[in-house]
Amino acid sequence: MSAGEYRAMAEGTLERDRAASIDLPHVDRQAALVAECARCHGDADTAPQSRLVPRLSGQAAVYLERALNDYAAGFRQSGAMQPQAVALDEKDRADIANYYARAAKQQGQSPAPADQVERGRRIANNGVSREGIPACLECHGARGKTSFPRLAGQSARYLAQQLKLWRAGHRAQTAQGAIMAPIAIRLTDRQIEDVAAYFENRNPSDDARRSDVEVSRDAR
Amino acid sequence: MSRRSKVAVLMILLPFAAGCREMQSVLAPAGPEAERISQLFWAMTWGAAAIMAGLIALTAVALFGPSRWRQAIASERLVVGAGIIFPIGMLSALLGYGFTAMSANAPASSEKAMRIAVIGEQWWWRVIYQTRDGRRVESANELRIPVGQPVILELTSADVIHSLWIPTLAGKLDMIPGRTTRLRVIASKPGVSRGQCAEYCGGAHALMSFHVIATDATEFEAWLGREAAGAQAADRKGEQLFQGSGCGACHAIRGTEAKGTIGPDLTHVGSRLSLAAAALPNDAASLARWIRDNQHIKPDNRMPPYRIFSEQELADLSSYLASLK
Repeated sequence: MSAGEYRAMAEGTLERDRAASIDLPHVDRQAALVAECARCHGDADTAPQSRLVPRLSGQAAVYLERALNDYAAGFRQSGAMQPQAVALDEKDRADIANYYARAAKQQGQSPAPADQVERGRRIANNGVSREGIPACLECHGARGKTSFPRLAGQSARYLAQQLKLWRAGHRAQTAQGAIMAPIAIRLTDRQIEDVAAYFENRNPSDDARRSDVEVSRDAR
Repeated sequence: MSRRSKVAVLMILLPFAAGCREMQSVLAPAGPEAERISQLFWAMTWGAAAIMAGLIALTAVALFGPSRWRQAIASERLVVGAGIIFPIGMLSALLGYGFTAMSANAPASSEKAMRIAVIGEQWWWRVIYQTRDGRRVESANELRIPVGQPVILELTSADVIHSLWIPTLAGKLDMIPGRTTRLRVIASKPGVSRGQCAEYCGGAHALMSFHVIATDATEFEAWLGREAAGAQAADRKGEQLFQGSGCGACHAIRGTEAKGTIGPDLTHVGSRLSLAAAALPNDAASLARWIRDNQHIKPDNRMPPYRIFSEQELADLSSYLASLK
């Protein structure tokens, strides 16, 4: 790894002075906050630094705000996220959530082979009835409430890791997580990798909600 | 009365108390199958009681009787007669009686009768009817049958071995994965009885019951017609919550977009006598409790707990489900 690459991983690719201007009035404060997030998660125009880090662009504000609250309250454990979330007040969390919710969804590109993506597509659309696995898209697709996360374009590595955390019982502390936990337990390693690959490849515009649009791209 | 004698009296009365819950008692048969079992039970009970009384009498004579009597029962003839010939004859007769009575209960696979498929699942019952014109009608956790005609229950299992037992109508029969077993039931009078799983099938086994409702044939046909039709509910708010919260991934409500096949069909859930395989009474309050706290009510059941709803949302959702008559 070159010195430049190391710097990008550690500090992000955004300019230092934006990140340092945290005391400026509101609009700039939001920009500064987002600049902090963007060091790992990317922003409206850039992708996350690593596939271990989730994409936030285009995710519903309700969901993002809840994720920050859950980190801050310790319902979700993360060495990286908890200190960040605790340091933010309610308004900051809402601002960050709204920024990413207004950002255009980004298309992911899974390196997974086509047959794996196809297996994942079948699970996501139809579930596996005999094994008690419901169709992912009933909640995480166009039909689901905004408080359920949209997964299209999300990093497969991140998704697979989260499903494994759920399966191991680490994400059942919240009301939302408790819904996912018993479902994750029914998934095999292979099924996890398959659905994760499918969602990374899925076109985010397929998630366009028919109703209850909360923050749409047009609202920018 | 001392504590010990009270316990003794209670122990003696206990078998009679079983008859009190007539909804689910072998002592209250409501059909010929159960009557044959009941007759067999009483024949064995009274027969065993008579033999026991005879034995006590012989023992009393052996201990306290006049010497002439004691000499008489000490003969080898009595040992051979009462100790070998009588048990062989009695047990063979009982075996024959048992075989005859029970084979009359077992339906031939070619028997012409209405058929209802019942599939045991952890921990509920999937029930599939067929209309006269061949349509498949799925329901759950409740069985409706017409009075006076034989109904063959085709039993199988989706996961582990269960056993279907409706004590007022028939004996138990195992539900085995990959195999269909057949049980004939005939309800001789209208009424409600209760059945349950009689083979330990995992965590929530004890809460896997159901009601059986026997009605006259015309009423049954009318009911099946209503059951075959899609849902009729006017509550848009509740329906939207149901569709948006992923409920439809597991549950079907025919006539709406909910087409899940993992959990019980809820098309007419509001018309059933109970919820969650007879674990709860059926009303909006119980539905709300079930949606939020189902893991407390029936630990380990396959439905995730839904604690994400506000009180208002929960009320809307449960009144929608209760309205699915």
